[in-house]
Amino acid sequence: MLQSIRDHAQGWIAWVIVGLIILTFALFGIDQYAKGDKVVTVAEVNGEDVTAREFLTLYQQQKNRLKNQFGEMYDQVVDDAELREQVMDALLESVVVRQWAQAHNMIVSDQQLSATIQSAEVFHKDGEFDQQTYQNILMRNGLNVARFEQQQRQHLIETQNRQLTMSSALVADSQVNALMTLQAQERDVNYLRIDHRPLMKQVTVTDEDVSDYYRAHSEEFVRPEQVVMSYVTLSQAKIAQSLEVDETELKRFYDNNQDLFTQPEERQASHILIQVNEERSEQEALETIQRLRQQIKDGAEFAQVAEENSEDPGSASAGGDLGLFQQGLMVPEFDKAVFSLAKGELSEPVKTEFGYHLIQVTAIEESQTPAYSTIRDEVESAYRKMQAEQRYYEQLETLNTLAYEQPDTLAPAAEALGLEIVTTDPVSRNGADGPVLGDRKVINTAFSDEVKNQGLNSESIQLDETKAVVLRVNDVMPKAQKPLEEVASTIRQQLTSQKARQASADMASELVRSLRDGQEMSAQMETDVIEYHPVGWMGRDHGQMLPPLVEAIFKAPKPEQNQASYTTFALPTGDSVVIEVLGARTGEMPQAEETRTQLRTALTNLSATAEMQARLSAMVADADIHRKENYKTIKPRL
Amino acid sequence: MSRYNDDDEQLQALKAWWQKNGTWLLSGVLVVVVAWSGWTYWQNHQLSKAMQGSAMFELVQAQAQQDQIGEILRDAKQFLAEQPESPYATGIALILGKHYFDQAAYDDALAQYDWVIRHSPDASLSLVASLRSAKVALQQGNPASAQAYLDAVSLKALAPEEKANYHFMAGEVAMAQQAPDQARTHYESVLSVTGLPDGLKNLTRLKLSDLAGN
Repeated sequence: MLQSIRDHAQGWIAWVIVGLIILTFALFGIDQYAKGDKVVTVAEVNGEDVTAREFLTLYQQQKNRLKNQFGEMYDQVVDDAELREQVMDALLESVVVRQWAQAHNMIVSDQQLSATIQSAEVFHKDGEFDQQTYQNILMRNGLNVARFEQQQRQHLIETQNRQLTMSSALVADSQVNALMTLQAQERDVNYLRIDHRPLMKQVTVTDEDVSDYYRAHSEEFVRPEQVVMSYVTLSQAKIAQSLEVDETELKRFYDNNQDLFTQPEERQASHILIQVNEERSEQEALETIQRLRQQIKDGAEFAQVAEENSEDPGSASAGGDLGLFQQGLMVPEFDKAVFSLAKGELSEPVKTEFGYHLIQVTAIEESQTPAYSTIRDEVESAYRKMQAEQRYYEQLETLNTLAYEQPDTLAPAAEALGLEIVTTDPVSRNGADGPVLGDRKVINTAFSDEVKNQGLNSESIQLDETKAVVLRVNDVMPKAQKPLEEVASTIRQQLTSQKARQASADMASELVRSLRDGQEMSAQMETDVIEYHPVGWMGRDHGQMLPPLVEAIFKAPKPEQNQASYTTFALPTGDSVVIEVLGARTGEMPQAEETRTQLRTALTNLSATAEMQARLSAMVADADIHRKENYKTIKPRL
Repeated sequence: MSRYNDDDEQLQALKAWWQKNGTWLLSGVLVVVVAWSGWTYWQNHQLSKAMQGSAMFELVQAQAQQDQIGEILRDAKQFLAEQPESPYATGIALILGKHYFDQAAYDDALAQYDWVIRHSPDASLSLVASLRSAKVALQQGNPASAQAYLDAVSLKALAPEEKANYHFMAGEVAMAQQAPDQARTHYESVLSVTGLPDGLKNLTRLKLSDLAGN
């Protein structure tokens, strides 16, 4: 056999084998080059991988958007786990839609894509699409063109898919009418309110009730884990106060930083405005202003002409006077005119967005630097602030170093920087009031593994730009069951109120029974707990009533065959009410065609949304989706 | 030690091999070329169909927004005939349906929805057309025929949210037929579905609360 291989070794078979070997070696690992590192996926949709990168991009975008929206509040408002779920849902939905669109031969062409991008006003310059602006904006937002265009394409195909049904939703007139009738409905109503507060004195809560409740709800009476911490605060303001200031140093600072104290030139000017508006063309305004200018040239008093003719309501009555102002405060054309005129000179007509102006400068206060002696205090505070800023960052570094080098005590750092060590009361993860304990970052740090469990000093935490704290945990109080004695009175109160509510509800049911048996609802029924409220015909917009009560009244059964209907309802306040409905009728329907049109539009949109959402849900439900667990924790790699 | 004694012998062997396998090899190459170009052609054809559909749908949509759909009615209908199975065709037919509805040409609207039900690529789009047919029938003052459109819907394959839409419409039709008990059952079925859009949920609650105790 070996012989036969050798015999054939120089034939074409040999070449084929050699070729195969070369190919194998040449291509081995080529996919590794093509794909880069191993690709991490977060889910699979109908056999197609969804990469972690896609997920993280969307997650990061969403997170940034929310951070912009909520700022400092972000950590309190946004639950990360929930955000991840939402992002994942949205991502999977968009993958499903993309696949559906592909399978059904839907496409967004290059022309459609570029038309959309070019019509977006953010990318416009001088009213037209500008390639440079486009690229700049993308770059500033950390997007490259190819990626952005791919995102847009996906976005457009999703829009198109929604529009397949959304742009053509409709609603029948009878549906609009039905809703209008419902909204205009009025009911003839009276009610009894059973006040639960007096009932609190009548109900009895035994010690046994209390201890039963305590045992049954023991998990409600757990004191959460708490820590006692101590911290030092480094504050720029404190540093500024404690600085020693040397008079000669101060003087030198003043001399070297004159521009800090210089008051810029100010000018006082008067003006006359003739507006350009719907009634007056530019040409007419210009003619008017020219005529006024001639009057002044001919000797008329500027102030008087202004008072009689100026259309600036703010200044006309003061003879056009605008007071003193610095350069840069007025609209540019106006500003330029004021700061190029000589004192007393009358300007040419000046055109601004408001119309035409005549301007006269009435006073010029030259730029000046006040003498050191007059503003010494101001110089001192500026000096202190500047020095403190510098020291602050030096001291912050020292603080961090000392706290790090001796991680089991704050004393050396406090001593070196003259800071006071503050010790807190026990604090839970919810934090407490105040600038330090109310700060989420402080609390999160205090409960972090290094600080709470290992007992190390924290790194410095910036409270704001001028304040930082370093903290350590002195004592950890694990979560514990509160003893019965501590919570008994709270439980008793709770049970009392609960029983009173129940008593109120029981009385209401009792009353309904006797009303149904023929007793008449009237003021006669009033006692120290029952109040009778005659109401009469009312609509859904009844303003003086609690909204839940209005809702309950319109939810109550309508009377049948002139038999009033009776229902009970427990208000959120704890009182129960007995509602008597004597009649229902359609009140005055809004006559205006406008109302009907608005309602029709609202119902059409509602129907369009419901159809579209349902269709998307169906698509997602039809898809074979496998989520991995990693999207709940995966973090962007930097 | 070569297998062939000289060059000539090698040439002869090669020729013999070619005689034996040449035709096969050539036909193989030919098949590959034909398949490849066929595939490319088909793909290009699909692409141009998709682009045509996409552009047509956008155009119809824009014209409808400006109430000038009449101008392109002929082109739109031709497209429906050419690519009836495309979602774009479904979208266009639905827009035409709305157009006829707004013109009070109810039978024409119903014809569009019927076309969608016969050609649409999936049950979701058919359902949309069925429910809209029922609305048109209500508009015509014919709840019995609206009921017939609903009865023709097969609920089995639908997602819960789609069932909610179905039941909402069924509730509306029952109200039009003066059957408040049935309406209540349907509206309750709507609210039994979780994750509905707020608008639909609130509207259904409002309607349901008015039916209490009847």
